[in-house]
Amino acid sequence: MSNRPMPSVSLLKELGRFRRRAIRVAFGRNSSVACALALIAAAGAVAAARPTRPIEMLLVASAMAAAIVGAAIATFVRAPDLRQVAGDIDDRCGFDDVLATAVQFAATDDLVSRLIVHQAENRLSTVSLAEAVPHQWWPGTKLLVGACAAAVFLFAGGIAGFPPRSGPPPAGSEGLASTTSGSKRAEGRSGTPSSAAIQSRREPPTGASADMRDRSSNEPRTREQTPFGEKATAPGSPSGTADDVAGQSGRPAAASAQADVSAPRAAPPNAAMGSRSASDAGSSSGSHQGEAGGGTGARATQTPKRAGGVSAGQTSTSIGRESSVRNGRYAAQYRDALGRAETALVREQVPAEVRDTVRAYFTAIRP
Amino acid sequence: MNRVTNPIETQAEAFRAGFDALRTEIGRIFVGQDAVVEQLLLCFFCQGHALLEGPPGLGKTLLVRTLSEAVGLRFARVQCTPDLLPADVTGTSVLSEHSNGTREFSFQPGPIFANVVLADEINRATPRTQSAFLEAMQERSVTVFGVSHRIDEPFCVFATQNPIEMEGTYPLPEAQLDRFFFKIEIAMPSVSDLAEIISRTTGDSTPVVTRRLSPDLIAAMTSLIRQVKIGDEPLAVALRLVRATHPQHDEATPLVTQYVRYGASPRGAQAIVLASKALALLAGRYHVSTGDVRRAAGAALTHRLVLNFQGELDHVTPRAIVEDVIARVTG
Repeated sequence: MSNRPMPSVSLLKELGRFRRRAIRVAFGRNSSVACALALIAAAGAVAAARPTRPIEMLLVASAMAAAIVGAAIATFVRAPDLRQVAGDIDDRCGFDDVLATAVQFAATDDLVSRLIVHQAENRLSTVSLAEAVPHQWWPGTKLLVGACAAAVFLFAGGIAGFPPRSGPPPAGSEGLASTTSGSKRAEGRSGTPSSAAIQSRREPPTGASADMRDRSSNEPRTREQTPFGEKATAPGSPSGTADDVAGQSGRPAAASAQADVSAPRAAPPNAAMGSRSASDAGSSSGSHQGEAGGGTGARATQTPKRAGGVSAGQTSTSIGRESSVRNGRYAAQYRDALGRAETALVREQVPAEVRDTVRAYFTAIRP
Repeated sequence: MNRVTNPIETQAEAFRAGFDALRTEIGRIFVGQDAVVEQLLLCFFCQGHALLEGPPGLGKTLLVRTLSEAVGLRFARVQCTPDLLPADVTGTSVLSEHSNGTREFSFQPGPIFANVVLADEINRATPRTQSAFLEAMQERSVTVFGVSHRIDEPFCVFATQNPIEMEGTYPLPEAQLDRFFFKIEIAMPSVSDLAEIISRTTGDSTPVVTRRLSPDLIAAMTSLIRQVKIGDEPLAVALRLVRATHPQHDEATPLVTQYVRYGASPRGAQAIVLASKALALLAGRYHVSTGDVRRAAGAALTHRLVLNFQGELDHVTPRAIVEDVIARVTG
C-alpha cells in the first residue's frame, strides 16, 4: 500500500475540473447580474441626460464592458477553493461530506485517509459536471429581468423619443422650442425637415375633416394658412383684415381669426384644426395662448380668435368654401410673406436659434 | 479491481458484522427498542457509560445483563439503596492473616471492577455512594486507603433510574450526569412488541444468550472507532451544537435562553464525535458526516442540560430543547 502513489492526486485533479466549472458558472451568474444592472444604469443615464445616439451607444457599451470586467474580477477574487467545491458537491449530491473530508485529509498518508479518498473518487465518478455544479440563477433573477425589461423599454424610448439635449432652451422662445422639438421628433435628428415631416405638416394628423384630405397641396391657402405677416389677410384681399374676410366668406365672426396678428403663424395650415399635438399646437393651434414665436421672433399673444388662423371651432364647411380660392392668390401671399421674412432674416431681426425653423417653415408651405 | 485490500476495510467489515451479531443476539432476548439497543451498543464500543431511564418493568436490567453475556465479559450488578456504602461499590481493604501468622490489609475489589457494571436505580443511593462511581467512571481507577487500583478494560457502567418514583431518591448531581456518555430513554414498547414479550416470557422455553464477540475483537472494534476521520464541517457542527446549549452564548436558541441554566460540557462534544465515528463505521464510511453528528447529538446532550426554575415550572423537557437546538443548528 505504501508504495502506491497517493490516490489523492487523481481526486484533486478531478475536483479541479469541477472547480473550474464552478468558476465558470459563478462568472456566468455574476456577469449576467452585472450586465443587467449596467443596462439598467445605462438606461437611467440615457433617460436623464438624453445624449446623442452615438454617446448613448457608447454609454451602454461601456457599462456592459465594465460589468463584465467587474464580474470577472469578483468571480476570480471569490473563486472557491477545492474544499469549498467539494463541500458544495457533497451538499448537492448527498455525499455525506466524503469529498470535503477527502480533500482535507488528502495530504495525510494513512490507511483510513486512503480509504476516504478512494470512496470520494468512487462517489465523484457517479456524477457529471452538470449534476454536481449546475447553473444557478441569482435569487432575484425575476425581479432583475423585470427591471431589465423596463430599462430596455426606457432605453428604446430614449433612442426613439427623447430629443437630444443640446443646451438649455432660449428664454422667451418656449413656443418655438416646442415647435422645434416636435418637428425634430418627426424629422429625426438631422436638424432639417425631411420630406416626410413636411408631408406630415401638409396632411392633417387626424381624420377629422374629409375636406382637409381633399385639399391638395396645390390648393390655395386661405387666411388660416397665412404663413407670415403682421396682419392676416383674407384671400382675395391681401390688405384686408380677418374680420373683413370673415364677412366676405360668410363665416361667423367668432370662428374667424382676428386681424391683429402680430406674430407669424409658425404652423402649417392643417395643424390649425386643433388636432395636432400639444407641441405643435403651442405654436400653431388657435387654442394656444402663449408665445407664438416665429419668423420675427416677436412675442405674440394668441387667442383662439387672434391666432391668425382657423380656430378650433372652425368647421369643415368653411374650409370647403375656402378651398375654392385660387392658387395664385396663395402664391402671391406666400411670396409677400417670404420676402418679408427674408428681409427680417437679413436684418438679423430673427433670433439665431429660430432661423432654421423659419426657413424650414417656408420650405414646408411653399406653394 | 486491482486495488489492494486495506486492512482497515477488513476491520470495518468485522466491526459491522460484530455489531450486527450483537444486536441480533440482544434482540433474541430483548424485544424491540432497536434505537435503544443501538445506542447501548454505541456506548459500549465507544467505552462510554450510559444512563438508562425508564419506568420499571421495561427491561433495563435485562438489556444490560444480556449485553454483558453476549460479549462474554465480567458482569456485576449493584442494587443501589440509601444504605449502600461506597465501599460496597469500590471494595475495601480487609485485615487478613497469612499462614505464617502475619496480618496485613489486603484489598478486596468491589463490583465496580467488573467489565460491565449495572448500577440499578442509582438515584436511590446516597450522594456519597454515587460519588464513589465518579472516579471509577472517569479515571477508570479506584483509590482505597491511598492506593489506586486500575480497572480492567473494557469498562462500562450502565446505570438505571426510575423517573417516576422520586420519593426517597437522590437525583444525580450534574457532575455525575456529565460523566455518562449517553442518556438512553426507554419508552413503553409497541403493542406488537408487547405481545412478543408476553409470548417469550410466559412460555416454557427460556432463550439462552450466546457469546458473540471475543475480548480481542471488542478491543479492536473500540480502537477502530477512534481511527475514523472527522472533517472540519461535521466537527464545527458538533461544536456549534454544544455551544448552542449555553444560554449566555450568542448561538443559544430561544428555548435555551429561556429555560436552560447550564449547557453541555466539552464531554458532550466528545460523546457526539465518538458516537458519530461509530455511526460512520456502521454506515460503511471512514469519515464522519453531518448526519452522523445529528443522529448522535440527541442522546449525548439531553442529560447535560440543567434547566432553570422557569423550565421546571413550565415542564419543559431537556429532550425538547435539544431537538430544537439540533433542528436550528443543523438546519
